[in-house]
Amino acid sequence: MTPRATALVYLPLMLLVALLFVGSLLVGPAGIGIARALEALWSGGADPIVLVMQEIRLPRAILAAAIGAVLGLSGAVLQGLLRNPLAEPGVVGVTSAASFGAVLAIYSGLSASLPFALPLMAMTGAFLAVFLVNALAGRSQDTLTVILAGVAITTLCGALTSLALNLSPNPFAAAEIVFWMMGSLADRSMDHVRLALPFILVGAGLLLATGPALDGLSLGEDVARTLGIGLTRTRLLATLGTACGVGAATAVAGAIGFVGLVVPHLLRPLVGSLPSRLLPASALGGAALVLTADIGIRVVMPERDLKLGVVTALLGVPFFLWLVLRARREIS
Amino acid sequence: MRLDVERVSLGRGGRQVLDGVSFSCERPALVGLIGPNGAGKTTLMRLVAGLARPGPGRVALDGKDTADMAGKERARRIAYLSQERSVSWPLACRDVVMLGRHPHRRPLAPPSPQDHEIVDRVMDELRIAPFAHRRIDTLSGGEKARVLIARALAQAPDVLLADEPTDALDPEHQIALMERLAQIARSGRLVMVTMHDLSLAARWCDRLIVLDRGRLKADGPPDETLTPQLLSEVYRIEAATLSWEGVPLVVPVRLAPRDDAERAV
Repeated sequence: MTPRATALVYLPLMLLVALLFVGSLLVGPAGIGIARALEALWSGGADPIVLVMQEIRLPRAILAAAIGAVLGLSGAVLQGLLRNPLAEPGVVGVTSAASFGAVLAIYSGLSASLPFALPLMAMTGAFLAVFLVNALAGRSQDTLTVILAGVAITTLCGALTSLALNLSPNPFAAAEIVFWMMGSLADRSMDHVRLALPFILVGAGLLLATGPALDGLSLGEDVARTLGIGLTRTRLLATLGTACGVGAATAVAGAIGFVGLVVPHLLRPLVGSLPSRLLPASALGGAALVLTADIGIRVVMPERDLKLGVVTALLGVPFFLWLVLRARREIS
Repeated sequence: MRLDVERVSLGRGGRQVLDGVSFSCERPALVGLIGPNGAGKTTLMRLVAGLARPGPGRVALDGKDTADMAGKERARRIAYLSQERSVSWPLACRDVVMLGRHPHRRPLAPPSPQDHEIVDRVMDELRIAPFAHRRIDTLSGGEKARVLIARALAQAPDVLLADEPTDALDPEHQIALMERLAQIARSGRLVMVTMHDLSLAARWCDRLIVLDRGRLKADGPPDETLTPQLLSEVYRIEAATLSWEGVPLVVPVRLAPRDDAERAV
């Protein structure tokens, strides 16, 4: 694939993300005109429109783009690392482990006293999940083992989250815990952006650095090693990157699943399947998908607070089933 | 260039897979590594490739221990073709060949004009330029084998290791592949292949190294190594050793008679 052909994939994606970002800024119950809305982004003062734009819509659009990007990216990296098209932060248990970490931070009251406790515990959960999947799947890393390891971790975290819910001291805490299980970008502030964005950026950097190693891994682990690729280093970058990025994303938005599954799969044919070319494309694609879904829920059901994670799961599950069916056909 | 394998041993699960194997090779040569199943051929190949530690022994290139080389430095000198030939994604052939340039490229930098030039040249040499942009999963077994060899050659290695490269190929492609490997050896490289087909080994290899249960059993030119006695001892077969139009043929005929004590086991 020539650099020009690659640019033909990246440029439209970048344009799409830019358009959706602006679109996300213009959608909302306040009904602000386009010119006023964009002007209010830059102006100071205590005008309610300025407040709506800068404190409500801007952080929501930034978070949608950043979280979508890191979810798409980590999906592409996990698929490349495990050489498995079904790998995804949600499927391998990272998302549920991260939300359990967040729930634990809320439940224990740690998040009330230390603002950083929530993202840190979500990231710890994510890190442990990736580590456990690697340990459980071991050297084999075949489709079935990885998925089973993911199922085991997801079930465990689901049970522990239910336990926290069961034992939660008051209905308010229970409601907040349920929120992490559904995932949403509503009512996020600039504080959330400041909390999550640095970790998401660091995570994305680590994930992007795995590109060339993932290319080599497509020839198998042995050949990759004889090409001078350090597998330990690659696994570490992918694990830390996913923990940082997906952990921080889940810490502020709850569980948003299937972005990492769908996006790399749709974009793979466009970039000729090479992981290093797929990674940046998946980041852009993930941003576009989450921005679209987040605009969609505000346009389709503006009066009901439809949760973003619910929508991505409803869209993602049929796709996941289709992939499973296809994998089964390939085996038989 | 000189490859020295010195007293390499490797135990696994209480069994000695390799037991004090030593030999030296100089390029150019096509060296066949043969022996029955479980003799340790693949393990020896992996040791030379740097994929496993050689126990108390060592593998050295021009006197330098390969275990002391950085991964990329070793990758610029030794290329390895695994028995496992699957490619995880439907990559374009040219992208697969370009993967061989990895040890020569700087991290995250795009391929240099030199990388492109070398990739185009090896693809020409192996006659796979016409399907540069085809997906590797759409190729036949023989075509795919050539693409993977091109990948290894793009590494510009001194040593090419190929683990059972003729496995699962039809006779036409087996011969074409051996011709190709002999040609690569003549171009100034050391090529080491493991194989099961004794006729192909006798016909194409300059030298055969015979392993049996982890030990070096014989080492020399094919006509001196593939003796009836060795075939009976190592492979436990009787074979017809013929010459047809000057081409040596080793045709396995029947199991070698065993003494009664061994039969009882």
